This record gives sequence, C-alpha cells and structure tokens, in this order.
Amino acid sequence: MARRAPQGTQAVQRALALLRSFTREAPEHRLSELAAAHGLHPSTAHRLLGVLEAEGLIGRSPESQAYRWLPGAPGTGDAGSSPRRNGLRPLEPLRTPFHRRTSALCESDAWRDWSGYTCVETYEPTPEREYWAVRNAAALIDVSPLFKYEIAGADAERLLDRVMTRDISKCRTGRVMYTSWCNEDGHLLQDGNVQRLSRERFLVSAAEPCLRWFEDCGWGMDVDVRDVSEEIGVLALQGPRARAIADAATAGIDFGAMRYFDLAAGEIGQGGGGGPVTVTRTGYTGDLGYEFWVAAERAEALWDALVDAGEDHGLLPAGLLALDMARTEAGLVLIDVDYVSAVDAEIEVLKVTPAEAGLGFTVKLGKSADFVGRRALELERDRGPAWAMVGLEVDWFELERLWSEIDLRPQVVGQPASREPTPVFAPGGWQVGQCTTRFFSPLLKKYIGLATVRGEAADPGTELDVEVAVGYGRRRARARVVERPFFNPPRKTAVDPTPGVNG
Amino acid sequence: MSDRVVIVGGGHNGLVAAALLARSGRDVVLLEARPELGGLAATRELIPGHRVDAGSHDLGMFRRSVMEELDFGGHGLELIEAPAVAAVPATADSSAVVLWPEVARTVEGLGQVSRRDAAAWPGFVFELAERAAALEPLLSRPLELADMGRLLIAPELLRTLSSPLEESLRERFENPSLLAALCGVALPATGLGPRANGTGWPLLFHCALGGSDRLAPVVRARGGAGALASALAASAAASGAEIRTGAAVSRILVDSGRVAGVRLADGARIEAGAVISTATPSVTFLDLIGAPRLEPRFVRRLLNVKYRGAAARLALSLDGLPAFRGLERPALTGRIVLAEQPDDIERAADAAKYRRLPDRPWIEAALPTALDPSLAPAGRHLLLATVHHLPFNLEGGWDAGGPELLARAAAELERWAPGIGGLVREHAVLLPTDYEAEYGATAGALHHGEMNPSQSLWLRPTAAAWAGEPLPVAGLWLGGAGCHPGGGLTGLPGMIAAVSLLRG
Repeated sequence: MARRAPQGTQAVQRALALLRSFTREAPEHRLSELAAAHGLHPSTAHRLLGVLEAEGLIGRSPESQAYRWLPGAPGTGDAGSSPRRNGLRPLEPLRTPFHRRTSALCESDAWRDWSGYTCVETYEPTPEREYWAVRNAAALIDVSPLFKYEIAGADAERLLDRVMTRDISKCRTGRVMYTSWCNEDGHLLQDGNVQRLSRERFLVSAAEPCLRWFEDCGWGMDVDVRDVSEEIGVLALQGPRARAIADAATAGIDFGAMRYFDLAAGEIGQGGGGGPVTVTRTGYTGDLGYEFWVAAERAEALWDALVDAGEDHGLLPAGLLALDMARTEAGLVLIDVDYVSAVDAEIEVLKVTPAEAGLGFTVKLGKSADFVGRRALELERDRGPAWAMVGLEVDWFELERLWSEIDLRPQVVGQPASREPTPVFAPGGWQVGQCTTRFFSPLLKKYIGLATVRGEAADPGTELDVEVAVGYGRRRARARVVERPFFNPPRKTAVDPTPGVNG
Repeated sequence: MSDRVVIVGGGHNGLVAAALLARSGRDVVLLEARPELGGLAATRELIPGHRVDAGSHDLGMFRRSVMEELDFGGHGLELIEAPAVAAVPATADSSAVVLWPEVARTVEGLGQVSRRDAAAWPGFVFELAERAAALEPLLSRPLELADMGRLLIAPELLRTLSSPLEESLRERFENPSLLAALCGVALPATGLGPRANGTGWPLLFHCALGGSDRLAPVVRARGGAGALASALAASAAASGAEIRTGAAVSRILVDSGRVAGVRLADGARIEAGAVISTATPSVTFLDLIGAPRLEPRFVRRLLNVKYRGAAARLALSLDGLPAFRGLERPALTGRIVLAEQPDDIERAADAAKYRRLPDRPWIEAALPTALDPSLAPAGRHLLLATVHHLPFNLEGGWDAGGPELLARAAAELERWAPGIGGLVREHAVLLPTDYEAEYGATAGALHHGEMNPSQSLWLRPTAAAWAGEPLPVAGLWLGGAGCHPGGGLTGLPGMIAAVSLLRG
C-alpha cells in the first residue's frame, strides 16, 4: 500500500497521543498494544510510531523490538522541570491534568502556586491580551486546583443543608448553587458552588480544603464524602464567544436552553465520542461562560476539543492574572484576599460573617433545615452586620493630581490587580476599613477596588479616602462607594446567549 | 416541663444519683437496659452456681460518706477489707512481694528482697499519702477555677502525676517485683504501659480515693460487687425512686435545645425535665442524642476522646486454691499482679499499640473466694483473671483472637501457678467486644475513656460542662465514669451529677 501523508491535524493529535503513552513509569510498549489502546489500525499506529522514531522522540528496544521511552525527549510523559519562579512553588509541585497543554503554551514562564499546583500566571509576558479575550472573545482558564468533594448517599442533601447557609433542598438536579458555609459562630469558612448531580449525589467545589469539616458535620449520617480533587480537571471557558465554542466542542448539550447556573452532561468532541464531560454555566469572570468538569484522564482531549473549536473565535488560554482582573470587575470576592476564612484567622477581629463579606444573599434564615452558624446569624440579622463589602471607585482626577505632584502620569494603567490591603478612611478622618483588591479596569477606564468598611460607611455614594501609593509616598485619594458588580453584561445570564444580541 | 429526672443506666453511678436525688425528694426513674443492675460492677451467674463479678469488684475507692448517707448497712451491704493490698508471686527468676496496708508488715517482707527498698517504703507511703491528700478534694466535686491553683502550687504532685510511673518509682526502689506490684495497683484498665507519660496519675487517683490512712486498700462486698448495686437500689427504692431493668433507652429526646425525655427501645416515651446519662460521652451524644443535633466542633471533641484500655475477664472455677509461688493465703486476698517487672506490662501495652495480642498477656488476678467462700459452691474457688491492655481493634478481629487470647492467658497462669490448669472445672469469658456489646463500654474501655492526665480533671467532661463550656443540651447531665473524676467504683461521678442537678 502506497504510503500516504497523514492529513490535517488529526494525525498530529494521534501522534502526540501515542508519544504521551511513553513515560518513565511505562517506558515500553508493543505496537499491537498501542494500536488497541488508541483505537488505531495497526498500520496507522506503525506509520505514526515510525515518524516518532525517525525524529528521535522514541526509541526501539534492540531485543524485543518494542517501542521505548527516551529520557528527556521533548513532549513525552516526562514533562521535565521548569525554572522555579517567585519562591512560591512547593518543592514537589503538583501538576493539573492540563499541565502538558498549558506548559507548552506558557511563553512567559510566569507560574504561580495555587494550592500546591503549578499554574500559569500569564501565558504572554503581560496579561492584557488574555484579559481582553475574556471580555471580547473567549478565554480558556485551567482552574483544576479547586478542591472538589463528592457528597453521596441518602443523607447527602441533609448534610449539605446542615453545612450550607443556602437552602440546598431547593437545588434541583441539574442546577448549581453558589453558597457560603460558616462555623458554629456564624463566621464565614468559605464560599463555593454546590452542583446537584442527582437526588443523592452532589459535587462541591471550594478554594480551600474542607473534607474534615464535611465529615465532622456529617457524622452519624448516611453519607459518603470523598475528596475527588485530583480526579477531576476543570476548565473555565469565559467570554462572549463561549457559547459558540462550547457548542462546537461538545455534543449532547442544548446550550440554548442552558440557563445561568444550570448543569448538563455531554460528550467531548463535535460529534461526541471523546468521553463524558459535565458542563456548568458558571464562572469567576462575571461574563458569559461555562466550566467543564472532566475526568483527569480525558482532560487533554477536552482541552484539544475546546482549542480546536475556539480557533475561529479568537479563543486564548488565559492565566490567573487575567482571571483576577475579570473577577474584580465582576465584584466577586476572593477568599484569603478579600476575606479571611475563620479557619485561618489568627485573631477574632479578622473573622467575618457572610454578610460582612458581601455574601449576605447566600444566607437563608428562612430555610427549614438547621444549619451550622444559624443562631449566630439570626442574632446578626437583628443587630445588623458590623462590616460591609463594597465597591470603590477612585476619583481619577484626584489620582492624576497626586501623581502630577511628582511629575508622572498615574502609574496604574496596565497593572494586574493589587492584593495588598490598604487603609480606607472617612474623608479626612479615621480609618473605616481596608481596600483588599484594586486595579485600573481597562474596560471601564476606572480605578476600582473591593473594600471592607464599617457598616455606616457602606451606602452607595458615600465618599471615602483610600490610601494609594504615589511613587514612594503614601497619599489619600478620594473614592466613592458604588454598587457591585462594576461590570455586569446581560450576556452573563441571558437565555440562549448570542453574540451581538446580548452584548 | 416535667419535674421527673430520668437516669440512663443502672450501674453504680446511676444508682448513686438515683438514691441521692430520690432522698432529696425528686421524682426519679432509673432505666437499665440489662436484666440485672450494677453495670460494670454487676455480679452474674456466668458459671452455674457461682457469683461472678463481671467488672469491678473492689470497693476500696467508694466514698464512705455516700455509704453512710444512703445507709448501706441498713440495706444489706457488708464490706470486707482484704488483709493484702497487692501481691506479686515468685517465679523462677523473681521473688514474691506483698504489699500490706500496714507499713511495718510490708517493710518486714521487703527486707527479704531488698534492704534498700524496705528502708525507702515508709517515706514513700507517707509522701504518696500527702500528695494524694492534696489531690483528693479535686476529685469529689465539680472543679472550680481556684482548684487549678491548688495543683499549680503543688509542683511535686504535678510532677508525679504527669511522669511515667516507672521512672518515679525507680527514684526510690530497685526490686522489680515491688515495682511491678505498684504498677499493678495503678495501671489496670488504663491501656498504658508504665513507661508512658502520665501514668503517675492513676496511682495517685487510687491513693487519693482509697483514703489517706492506707495505701489503696482492697475492699469487697459480701456476695460480690453486685451487692453494692442491690444496696443502692434498695436505698433508692426506699426513697421512692422507680427502678426499671430491661428498659433500654434508644434516644434522649431534645426539644429546642432542652431535654424533653427519653424514648425506649420498645418505642415508649418517658417525659422528663432532666436526664442524667451514665453512658459514655460517645454513646450519650453520638448515639442517644445524635451527632447531627450537635455542633461540629463538639462532635470533633467527642471523636477525639481516647477509649483505650480494653480488657478481658476470664473466670475460672477451681477445685482448690491455686499454688501461686511464694504467697500464703492472706496474700492472695488482694490484687494478684502477674508481672515480674514493669516491662512485662509495658510489652503488653506495646502489642496493643500495634493491634496485636501480647505474647504474654498481662493478668491481674483475684481470688474473691479467699475472702468470701459463699461466692462458689463448697470446695470450689473462683479465680478472676483480668487480662488488661488489650487492643479493642485487634488485627484479625476478636472472633479469631478470643480463643488465642484464652490459650495465651492459660499458659501465663500456668507459669505463675504451676498446676492450675488441672484445677479448672469450668470457665467463662468476657471479651472487649462483650463489654462494648453488653455494657455499652465504648471500645471496651472499662473506664469510659482512658484515664490519663490529658483526659482527667478539667479535661474530662464533668456533670454539666466540658472544657469550660456548658454541655450543649440544657437539662442533660453526665454521671458516668466517662466524666470527672473518672472510672472505678467510686460513686463520685453519680454523686457529682446529683449534686450539680440539685444545685441547678
């Protein structure tokens, strides 16, 4: 049979998949075994392996003629080490199931530790294009380091209703609920999403570990709590083009019918066949978007399908800096940045209630189940929260004036969001709180921030002073309390979202 | 709200609480799941014609004032004090040692094995009594903050209770049998080897509650420990308490954070304004109230309680008095400690740590018929061999482990009393799993929670509070061995519960 040049991208994908079978742990494979494992005709596998061998990417065992892993060959299962950056990475960094894809694209080599995982901070030297992709096209963000817990059993709903401040009994199968959970004193432990997969099965995603908490709360109940964090890869596809891309990359899901915070199960690949994937219409950007939950072993197939589908839509992989900018515009709070979990608070005054962290809407005191922290939160309802999470908009002319004193334009444009807390004052007076996240929004052309302030300083329109760094100086700039979110496009929640129609 | 007080459990602590509360005019209903009263101090006919004590049978620590208050004498309780405190028989490699209540008598005996130890004994007894006397007030009532000061100004007491017992003893003594005898007084049912930190505590505990005038005396009730329960029940009934056996409580009912009563296994409901539970903290809260009704941090605290210290009881009916080497009959009336040296106990504890049976089980034996022949038919003797320091979660399980333990215990007894095997006519066994299944002793722990400093005094639940916080259910009181001051036949947890309840 005449040797035919493999067509298009499919051959490349197949070759790479074959290459990835060779790892330090599983260095040797026979042709028949590889062909079966990858669903290839033996002659196709033979042809592709021949190319890989000729290119020096794999070897051949002299005795058995089996194909062999070559140490250090690029792109094989041994991902190699990348230079350590910023001292934050643990000695043995974990890698998300998408790592081989993300690392191949990470030109900047700017990595960040996220719960022990090595994550891309920004693929390009600056996050700007990635940020704009979120708002104008679509971005693909690896958020696999989230902690994930599967809660299953006859008492699964009972456990979650005991833990969560929201009424989980009202979360129907196929829905996702954003909620808070508190300790016995009503102090916020975390916020996160609860997916209802079936009547007796849920998946909880959270930024921080909470297995022991769920176990303690569920003691004596007929429920099984399992940490599935490492078994599931998560990709966030966010931006106005997300629907079109999601549609093209999966099968079996009616994206037109999928509402905000809906959940659906489908298959990877335009015509399916790439294995199951769960899609939720959720995200952390305040834009139209979806999150894809996939078994770790199918993670790369999902990535490839989304990247392929995104080619015509300006899809870019985006790092955590772009995500942080987007979430700030969306006014979404971040644990450990905008509030401290009661678990981590070294002193009592750092602990906050959900209302004080801007999550009062997740507390349902009217629900019938008794949940942890309820009594304390009922007391708070009667006396009012001491603190409030507000949006701040810093007066641009004032910023310009302060910077002009040292003959510079405000050096805030083009910067990622700052997480260094700075004090917030009553105008010309005492400190009334702190600003925990702020940045210049390229979209809104405003210097915005999230701040925790005393209840009496929380009304929209209230004028406050926020400390800003001007060169080496620390100055106060006038700011105004504004409603969150700063940016809230209709497409985020639109039914049947269509570009150009919902903005 | 009902004025009735329901007491869950008819062990000696529950009965003490019932008797005291009934005497104070309260409407008391005591509910015991088993057919007989006494709990872990019950006497049962485990061998036909024999009165076998299922658990504790030493009343040496029982509060005398309670006995008088409740008129035990008038209700048929007769106490017999054993002439001996503890004895270690001789083996091929070691000499016998007997501890007597009388200092001079002990010194005389010790002189045969170690002149140094004999000389050190009076000073030791004096200091121990002094430290025990300083501790005693803390054990007989709910603790107050000021009590913490009493401990802090007694550095020697603190040092003794927190140190490894063997180390403290070696500061004075050298004879291995003597060291073993003292360890044998302190360590039963603790699960702790003498090299473990905090093992000074149980010795001080025994001495403090045994009375400052003598060293941890052994006192038995005529007719078996069950006679104590009978006297208590008679006293309680005379004061109007209702006592029901065969009434298993399945639920303590809670209504808006307050006890409302109990539900029985047969579905009956008994209203009550107050409930005293003598079950372990684990059973009381996790089973009878239910973890989902409790704050998670309280559940975590419950799950963190250590219930080590499982034991098995082997009762043997013998044709005659066994020949423990080097011991005369009076020496056999007290505790018979079968350890040549402290390390024998340590090795048993080591095996338990790794969920294994020890090669040589550590046995604390007693011959109750040496004091009270009425416990067995004429011509028979009853030997109670308690095998301490067993792992409740034995590797391979107790179904297979039970017979193996029996074989090893028999071999060990034979080593100490050659020929004993030939005397055995009948036997009965209670394994750690039996203690949990039959008596609700969580993980077979006879003390309802390990007795070490980290689970004692302020760190053990008390009648109405735990770790400085009130118990999470109003109207619920704890009155069993799992709460302050701890296990043993003291009557104190029950008394403290009754007193706390009466004080409101």
